[in-house]
Amino acid sequence: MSESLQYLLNPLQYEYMLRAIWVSALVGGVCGFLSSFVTLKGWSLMGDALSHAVVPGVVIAYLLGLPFALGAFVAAILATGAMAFIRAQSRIREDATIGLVFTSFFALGLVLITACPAGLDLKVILYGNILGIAAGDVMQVVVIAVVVLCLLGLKWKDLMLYCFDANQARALGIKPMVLHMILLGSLAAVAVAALQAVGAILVLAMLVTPGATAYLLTDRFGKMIWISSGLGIVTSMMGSYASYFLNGATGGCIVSLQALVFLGVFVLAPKHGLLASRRARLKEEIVVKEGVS
Amino acid sequence: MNALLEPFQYAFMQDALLVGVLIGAMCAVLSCFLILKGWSLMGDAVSHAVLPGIVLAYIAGIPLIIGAFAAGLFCATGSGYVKRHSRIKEDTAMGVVFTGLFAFGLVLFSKTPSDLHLDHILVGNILGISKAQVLQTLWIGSCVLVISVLLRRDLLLICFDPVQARVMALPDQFLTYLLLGLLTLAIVVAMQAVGIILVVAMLITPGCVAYLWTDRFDRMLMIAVLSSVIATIVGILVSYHADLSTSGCIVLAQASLFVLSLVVAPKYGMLARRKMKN
Repeated sequence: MSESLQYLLNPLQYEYMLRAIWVSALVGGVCGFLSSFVTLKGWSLMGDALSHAVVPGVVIAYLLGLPFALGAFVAAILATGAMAFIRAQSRIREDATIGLVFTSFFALGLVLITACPAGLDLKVILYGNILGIAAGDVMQVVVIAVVVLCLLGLKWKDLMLYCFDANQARALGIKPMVLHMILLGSLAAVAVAALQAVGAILVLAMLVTPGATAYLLTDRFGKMIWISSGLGIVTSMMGSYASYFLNGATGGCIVSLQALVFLGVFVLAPKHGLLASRRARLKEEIVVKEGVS
Repeated sequence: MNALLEPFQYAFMQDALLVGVLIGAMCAVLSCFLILKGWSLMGDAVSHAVLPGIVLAYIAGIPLIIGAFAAGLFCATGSGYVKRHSRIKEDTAMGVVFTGLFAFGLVLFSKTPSDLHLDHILVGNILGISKAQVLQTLWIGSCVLVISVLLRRDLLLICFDPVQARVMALPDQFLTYLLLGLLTLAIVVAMQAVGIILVVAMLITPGCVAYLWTDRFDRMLMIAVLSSVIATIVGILVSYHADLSTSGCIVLAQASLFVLSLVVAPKYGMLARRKMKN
């Protein structure tokens, strides 16, 4: 008994594991918070796009010795600018524009990486490297998390209104353009932080799955934010802990866990779950039949 | 000129060129349907979701392509199921399902000792493609290409106007699934050459380029194929001479063609529109 306990506690005696756990909890929490807005606004493709589009920025920042968050942020702004420009100048649909721009940016990043082979490891960008994260990078993640949390915490009511109904928000004198920029900026910043934890490909999951899960559990937005942030924190902590036993596929562990939680909630959620809605439909049919007879 | 084309005397470059051109043409034809139907995210989702299928097929000892195909279809139908049976929007459902599958694939991969290279799956390895893969790509790619060109009228109708398709007594559900199946096959085949992440570009950009040049679908198909093939050849050559990532170069060549078209295309280019305004 004590031996298996020892086995389970093993990862916690390493400093790098403890650091990975609290950093990923922080990232998971911020992503979870933001994911409520992303889910409501229907911005999944945007989240995916930004997380890939930051790659060339990260590579260039690395080459110039700048903080990678800065490069990533600039790349994200350029990418959204390019999307808006193409949208305005052509008749191509929005989803195709987003796909076109982010894949081009990612390809540029890939070419840049191969152009300077001594530099960055592609693996770090693709899968993240939270177990080996450097102290400077931890600082950047913390700064991003604090800034984004403050911004969203202060503005969450306006943002909620904007996500639900942009016209209504405008009528109430809230500037939708400013909110749009805040949301995009937070998304870009958080994508950079999450890149560290789970890698470019799985950032999207951190930005969508907790929000989607929470959306099935509650009808109130305030509660939804709490649930999705909590889910983000718990799954990230448990995922990075579990990755100790699974050869360090931290991103894979965190996101698999999130997907499993979603699956459970999708089936079992009290009101919006599969079973609950099936029960409700059955009841309705019975009522209708009774009404007919 | 000779120095430029010199690489094509090597067998591996000839294989790369052959496979690249076929994949480029196949993806270009499908991209025309996808951008009209608004299925860009679908290409992204399916291409990532194939990973667990590949690893499971490896473990089970069956051809990887079968596992990949099954996982891709599972992703598409699974996100459709989630969307129909809950109040979650389609794009969110797709995001949840495909990232979940990809993450599962990663975990599975890290626990499976294998000679698979994750890098090759993710960013492709067209210059190191094996003879067996060349043959496989050739026959599957040709099938996809021929089917989608032959059925282009029906597929186009379900992209533009599914209701009309039903009114005309076309088997619209069957055609939607057929398009999905063709898409998945194309992704599975193209993945070996350009990798998961950049397949998405091959499935979006050529269609966008062609859409800027013409209003007629048959012409759009031809222009898309032409631009994709040119970009593939240029990309392979540049990557050989400058020693850069091949898939990255192909996609950047496509992006350059798009930017060029955005500026100079007749009628829908920026210059033409400006002239019309004046």
